[in-house]
Amino acid sequence: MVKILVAEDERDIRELIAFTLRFAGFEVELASNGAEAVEKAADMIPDLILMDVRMPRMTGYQACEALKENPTTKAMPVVFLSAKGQESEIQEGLEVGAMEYILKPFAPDELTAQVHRILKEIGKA
Amino acid sequence: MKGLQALSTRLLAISSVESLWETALEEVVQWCAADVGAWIWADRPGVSTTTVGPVRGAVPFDSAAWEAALAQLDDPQSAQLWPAAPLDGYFALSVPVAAEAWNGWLVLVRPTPFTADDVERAGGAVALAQLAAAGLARYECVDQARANQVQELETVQQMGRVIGESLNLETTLDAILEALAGLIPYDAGEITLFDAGQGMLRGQAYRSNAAVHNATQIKGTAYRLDEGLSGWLARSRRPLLITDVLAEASAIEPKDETLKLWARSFLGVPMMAHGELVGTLEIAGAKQGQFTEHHQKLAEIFAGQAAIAIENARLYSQTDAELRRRLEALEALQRITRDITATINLDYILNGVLEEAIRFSEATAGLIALSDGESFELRARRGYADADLGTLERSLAPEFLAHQATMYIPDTQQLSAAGTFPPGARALLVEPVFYEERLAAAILVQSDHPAAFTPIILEFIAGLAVQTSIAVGNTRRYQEQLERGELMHKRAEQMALLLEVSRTMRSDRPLEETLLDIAYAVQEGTGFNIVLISVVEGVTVRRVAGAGIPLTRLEQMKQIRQPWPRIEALFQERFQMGRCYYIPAEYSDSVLGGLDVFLPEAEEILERQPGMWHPKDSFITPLYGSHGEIVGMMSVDDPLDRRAPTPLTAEVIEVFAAQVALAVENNHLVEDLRRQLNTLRLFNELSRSITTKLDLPLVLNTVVQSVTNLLGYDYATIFLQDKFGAAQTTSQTPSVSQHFLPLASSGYTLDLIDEITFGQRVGRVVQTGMPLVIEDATANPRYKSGPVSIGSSLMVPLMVEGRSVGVLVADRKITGDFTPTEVATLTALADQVAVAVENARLFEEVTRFNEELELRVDERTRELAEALEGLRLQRDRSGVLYQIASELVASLDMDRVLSQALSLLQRAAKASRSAVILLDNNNGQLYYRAAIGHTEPIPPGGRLAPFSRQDGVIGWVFTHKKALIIPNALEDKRCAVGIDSAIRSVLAAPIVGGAGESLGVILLQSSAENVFDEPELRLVEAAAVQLGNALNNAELYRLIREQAERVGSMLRAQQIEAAKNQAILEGIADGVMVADESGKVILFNAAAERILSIAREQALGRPQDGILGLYGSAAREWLAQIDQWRQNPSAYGAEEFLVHRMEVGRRFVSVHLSPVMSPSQEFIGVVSVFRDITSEVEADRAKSDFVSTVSHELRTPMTSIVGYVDLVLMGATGPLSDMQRDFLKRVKTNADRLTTLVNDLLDISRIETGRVVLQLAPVAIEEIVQQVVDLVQPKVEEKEQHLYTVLPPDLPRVYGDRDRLSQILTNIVGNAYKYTPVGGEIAIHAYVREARLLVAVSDTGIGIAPENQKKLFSRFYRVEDDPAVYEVSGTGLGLAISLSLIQMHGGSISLDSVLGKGSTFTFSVPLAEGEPTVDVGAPPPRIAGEAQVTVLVVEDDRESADLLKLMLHRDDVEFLTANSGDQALRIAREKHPDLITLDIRLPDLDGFEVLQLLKRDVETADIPVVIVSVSQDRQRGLRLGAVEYLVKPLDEQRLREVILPLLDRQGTIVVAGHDRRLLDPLRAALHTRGMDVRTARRGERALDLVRDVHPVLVVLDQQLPDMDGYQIVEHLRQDVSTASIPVMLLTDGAAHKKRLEDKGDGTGLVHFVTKPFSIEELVGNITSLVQGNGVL
Repeated sequence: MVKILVAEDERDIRELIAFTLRFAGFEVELASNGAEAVEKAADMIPDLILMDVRMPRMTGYQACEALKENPTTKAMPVVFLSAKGQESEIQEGLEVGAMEYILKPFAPDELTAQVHRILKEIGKA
Repeated sequence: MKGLQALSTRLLAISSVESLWETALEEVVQWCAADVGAWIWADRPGVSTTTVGPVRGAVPFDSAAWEAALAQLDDPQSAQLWPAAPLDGYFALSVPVAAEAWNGWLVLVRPTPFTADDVERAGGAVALAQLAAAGLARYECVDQARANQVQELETVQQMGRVIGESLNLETTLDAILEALAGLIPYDAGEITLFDAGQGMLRGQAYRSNAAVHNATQIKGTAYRLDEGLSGWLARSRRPLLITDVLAEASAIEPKDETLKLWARSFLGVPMMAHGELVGTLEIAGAKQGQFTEHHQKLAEIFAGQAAIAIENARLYSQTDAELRRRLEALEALQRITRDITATINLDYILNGVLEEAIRFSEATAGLIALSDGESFELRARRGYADADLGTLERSLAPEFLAHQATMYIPDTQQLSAAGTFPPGARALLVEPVFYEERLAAAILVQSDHPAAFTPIILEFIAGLAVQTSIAVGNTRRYQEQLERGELMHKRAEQMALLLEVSRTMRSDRPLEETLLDIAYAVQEGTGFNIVLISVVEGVTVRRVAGAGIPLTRLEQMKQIRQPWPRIEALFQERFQMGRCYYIPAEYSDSVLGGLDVFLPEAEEILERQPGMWHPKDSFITPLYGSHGEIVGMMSVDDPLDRRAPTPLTAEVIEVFAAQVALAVENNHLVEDLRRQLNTLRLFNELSRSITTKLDLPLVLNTVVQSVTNLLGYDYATIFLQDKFGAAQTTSQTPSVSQHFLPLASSGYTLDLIDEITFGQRVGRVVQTGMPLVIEDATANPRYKSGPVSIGSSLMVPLMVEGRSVGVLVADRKITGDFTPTEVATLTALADQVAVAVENARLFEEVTRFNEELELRVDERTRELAEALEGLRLQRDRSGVLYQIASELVASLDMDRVLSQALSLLQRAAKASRSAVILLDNNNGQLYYRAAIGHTEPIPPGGRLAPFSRQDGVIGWVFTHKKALIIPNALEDKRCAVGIDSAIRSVLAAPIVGGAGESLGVILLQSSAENVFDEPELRLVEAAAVQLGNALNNAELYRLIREQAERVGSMLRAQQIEAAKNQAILEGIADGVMVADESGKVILFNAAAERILSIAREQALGRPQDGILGLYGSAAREWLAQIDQWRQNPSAYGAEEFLVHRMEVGRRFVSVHLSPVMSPSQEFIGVVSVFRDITSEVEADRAKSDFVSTVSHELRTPMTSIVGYVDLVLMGATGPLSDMQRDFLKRVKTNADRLTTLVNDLLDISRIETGRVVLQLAPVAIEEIVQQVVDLVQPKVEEKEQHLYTVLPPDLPRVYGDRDRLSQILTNIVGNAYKYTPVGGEIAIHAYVREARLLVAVSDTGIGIAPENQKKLFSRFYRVEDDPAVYEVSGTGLGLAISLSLIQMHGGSISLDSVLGKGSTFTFSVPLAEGEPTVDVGAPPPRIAGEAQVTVLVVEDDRESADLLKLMLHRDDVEFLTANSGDQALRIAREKHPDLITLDIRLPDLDGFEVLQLLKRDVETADIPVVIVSVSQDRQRGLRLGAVEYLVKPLDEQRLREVILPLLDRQGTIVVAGHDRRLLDPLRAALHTRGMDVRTARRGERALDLVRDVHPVLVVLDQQLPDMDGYQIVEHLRQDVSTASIPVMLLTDGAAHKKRLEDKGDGTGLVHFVTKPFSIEELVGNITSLVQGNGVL
């Protein structure tokens, strides 16, 4: 089963994503901040990480950078989920090593479709 | 004006160019108050500067400096003001001047600056001086040419005299060169003469001036004919003119190299006389182009004269020398004769002979040897050494002397047998001496020069031989007599007598005297009492002298001429005795016949005593000449011893006879010489007269006189070809032949010369060109019938250039032959005459030329005089005008001014009465304001004219504004009004004001007819212009004075206003900068200083470009805008402005630009308003940040809302009831709206804060379009709309952001989808124009009213007054975002929309770099709705009609109204409206009747009619052809629904089909043909469409998803409103047609197009069907 790590500080959203992905049949692990996400990623070795940008303790960007520094987690695909949909922000996200940037708000089926597409791209589907 | 006039007067009086320029200079210096003035000539030969001054002060003038300065002028053709600095520190003015052949400047200098006035004055003076100089130059030119021609002519005339004066060749040649120098100025000249014998030219004379003294002398140089210029001239016999020797160096052969040393021009002419080359005449000049073609002509004429002079000189020198030689010879012969008669010592005689021979022949040696026929005996020798004797013996070999004829060897070296000649003999002459026909001796002379002996010498030696022969004979006879021992004594006596005789034979005595002496000597010496000597003259024999005959008898006998042939017949052998003839009396009768010989009177006939003399015996000795011919005879009679003659007697007689013969011969020789001398004298005389006298008749008369007087002819006549003599011919002169007329005659009188006598002869001579001799004219009856009896006649032709031009006839009374000398003499004379004729002809030509020249000179002089007169007249008129002008400005008292002007005009135009009539503007009446010559004085303010301003001649001139002259008032009807009956001539000119309005008339009159002419008319017209101006000025002056105060107060008000404005401008917070049209800043207020941080002083007066340039690229657009306004002001309206924002330091400044336009739309400046918007920008940024944050904060909850609702809807929480699902959907929809709003807001905010960065790259627009179509297609189909694209195949790529372009297009297409009703159409066209790609999205939607179109792109704007808009959700941000994005791309967007019809949004994007920029594709058709349609409302009730119009109101509809049936029918026919609404109740006709009439008339049958009535009779209406029937009271919506589509049916086609491959191209093709196409994909929809739009044609595919074609037709036919619409059915077979026909549709309204067909065919069918619409 595909394992997806979701990092989101806002509970409603975190659970919405979790629900959506689990509903779609993925194994989902959750983190509520960047630091936690980095920690968990090293433990569980997920196939994909969905991460909010604006999070306490460690932002999505910082987390992503940290992941890229660790050889274990270095290759993990990271996709940002953010309401900050401005070009500079997206650009920054992509620069720190994310492969996609999904804008909030998103419809659950949209998210599912996007995840499916990304997994297919990285050959995990 | 005054100065110019004075100058012109002065200049016109000057006759020399130099003083003209000087005078002009003096005048202009005075006039312009200059201190120094100068003409500085740029290229005038010899003169560079003419200076006047310093007139005052001490202003220096450096000509050289000025020349240099002027030469460097950039624009030398303009007057130039020189500031103080460059030259001498004074001010100067230079004005260019162009004289006849050179250019220069007038320079004026003074210490103060020159003004524009001075420039004008100086320019005027220069122009005047130029004009005068040109006139003068022309006059001088003509004068000079005339003088030149006259001088040349005189020279040519004198030349003949000069060069004919001398007969010495050398002198003549020198005279020729001298004379030519007077004619053509040359530097060196030479004459070569042609030596025909050697075929060479020889330089004979040379003349040069000092300048070329080093030129080679050519005298004596011989040239071959194939070399050099001389050779060329001789060879070609044509003149040669070389204007540039160096340029034509190839023509100059080495021989002429010396010519190239100094000569630059060459002119050579061949000299020809009698058609023969005489030589060449060549001149050279040191200057290039020194000789002209005119010179060549002169030289040619001159060469002809020279040739004749040379010929004459040559002839004279030749004949002169020859004559001397002959005299010499004669003297020598006489000496010998004397010797012979004086002695019988043969050796003495032979030595004498040899001496004479050697002396005369100039031989180096000679000898005489006697011969007995076998051997030689050397008897006399000279010039040989004794040692040579042996050689001489050998030379005189028998064969050498046995030659028996004259032997002349010109050059012994040319003979091979040189050895047999005497030593030292180069030329050798041997003359045999015969005695009694046997060789008796030989005379030999030799010379060491070849060809030493001339024909004269040969002749002389031959003469000597004869003398020698006589001497030898005498010696022999003497020897014989001595031997016989008899008559010794007698002989001695005889010898003494002979000596006596020889003494008498002096050449200066007449022959008769000599012969008389001889006759007496013979009588005494021979013993005969009677001696008679006769001389043969031609064919007769004349008795010359006698002895023993009574004198009276002798005189009688001398008168009788006896025919020589009969006398000659006497000399028969049987009577011969020695050399004498003895005719005994017995034969006398038979032989002598009727010959008149002298016989002494005998009393009785005596019997002959044997051996005795009988009185009738005749003893005659012929006298033999030197050539053995008989020159006369001597007869003797009555011997003293009465014995018959014996041979001894004969011998004695012979000796005497020889003496007589010698005398006759000598006499002949002397006569010949005398004649030759005469001839020569005659020739010289003639030559001189011919060359000096040019009067042809005079010359001809001289010739004929000379011929008769000097040459011994009795008559002489000259006939000339009539061409030469025509002028002298009178009609009475009989013409000898058609062309030859006798012009001079001696002996005859001209009118006695008749055709018969001369015609044939002259004709023959002319024809053959040879002399004609008639020895005996008496034999020809023709000559007998002539005026005088002619014995013989000699005729020679007059030849000019090988052509006979006439004949010289010389006649004698006696018959006889003409000697060759005579013929030659006359021929030579004829040649002279021919030359004279030719000269006369040339002279005639020259005279005629001269006359022509005179004529032309006269003509020119007259022209010039006329021109001067014209100039003078013009000057006078200018004077009058000037005075008038002076008067006009001198006073403001108009009446006085008019009177003064009028009196001047009247004087100038010689009028007897004059008047000025002016219009009074207050009452429109004409008033006499000034009058002269009228009886009644004009009161102040004028007298009312008794006619209106349209009447009479004054009215005519006033109205037509044209001046006129009436030569006779009685013949012009217009003169009946306002003109006195005593007046005949009228001149009237209008006075016209500044605006072209008539102010009045100047009227000049005279009681005489035909007084006024054109120049006077012009003068009066000019005066009228002055008056007009003056009147205008007076009026203007008044106006100006009146307005001055008003203007003054206005000015004050304006100043106050301006001050206020200034204060306001200074006071306002916005920065204001105003620049004028040149871009210079003229206003810069304090706020501008503050905002732009530029001090006012730095800004004012500086170009605004410089100020704006401080802001770098931000100002570029701004500057470009100003530039555009400046260049093309008319393109911009007054409200145009440009808003710009720039950053100044840390502040933001907004700039508003506005062009300042004059009322005539000229660009006069720019106002720039600056506002510090830093706070606004900051607020904006804060707002934007706020929006960004807020929207982000909004998104997060939105995510939850949307997410959970979706999850629930997806059934993640279990099944939902319908209501739950419905409600949740509503939540989701609104959440979506909210999301969109947030996104749009974010977009806007980011765009505004400049945070959107475009990812620009080349993009294929087709991909974008396809992407958008794919996205929208499902929604479009859901709404049964049709979306299609028109994308040309070769669209270039654009430079843009793929995602943003997609966003823009999606937005626009989305709008189209949203605002287009169900079944509508959306089209996307892409095309290229002006290097931009345009994307047009058209729809058939609700459209946008014009007033809303501008606001459409504003944020949050939504059209508020259309309920249709509210049905659609929207944020009102989409177009604003699209606009911003398009602008960020550098593109633009435009809108074309008609309310209710549809919209087209078109945006442009720049092309990617390197893409072709050619136009591609086509834009969509414009939205229809502009076309005017007319509706005829037939309604008798006005209120109803108005209501109807109100309800039907649409922008493009025009209404016509008819309130009766008749009017309705008439308007329908005339205007052919697009639709008629028809009321049934009308005052005249029933509405149904009207309908019927409309439908019956072909003109109106096709107009749709809608009945609008209160009555309910729908069926009847439709049956009669109405389209619809509406019942009052009207429902507005229904009315519009029914009628408006009917108006639009024009050009709308409904196409129903389900195959897009057919529909799309068909639509595109029909669009381009201007047709509106609506499509339907289902039958139901098609029927609805047809009902709605009422198309002109329905195109149906045979099968649609819901019904087939025929079903649709059926439906259409069932509905009255659609029943008559034609249908085109696209079918794959005949089945449908059959089926339709079965159904009974025979209306002909259905057309079939059978598949397969091409789109082109189909479009063609449709087009033809639609265009033939009127018939359907």
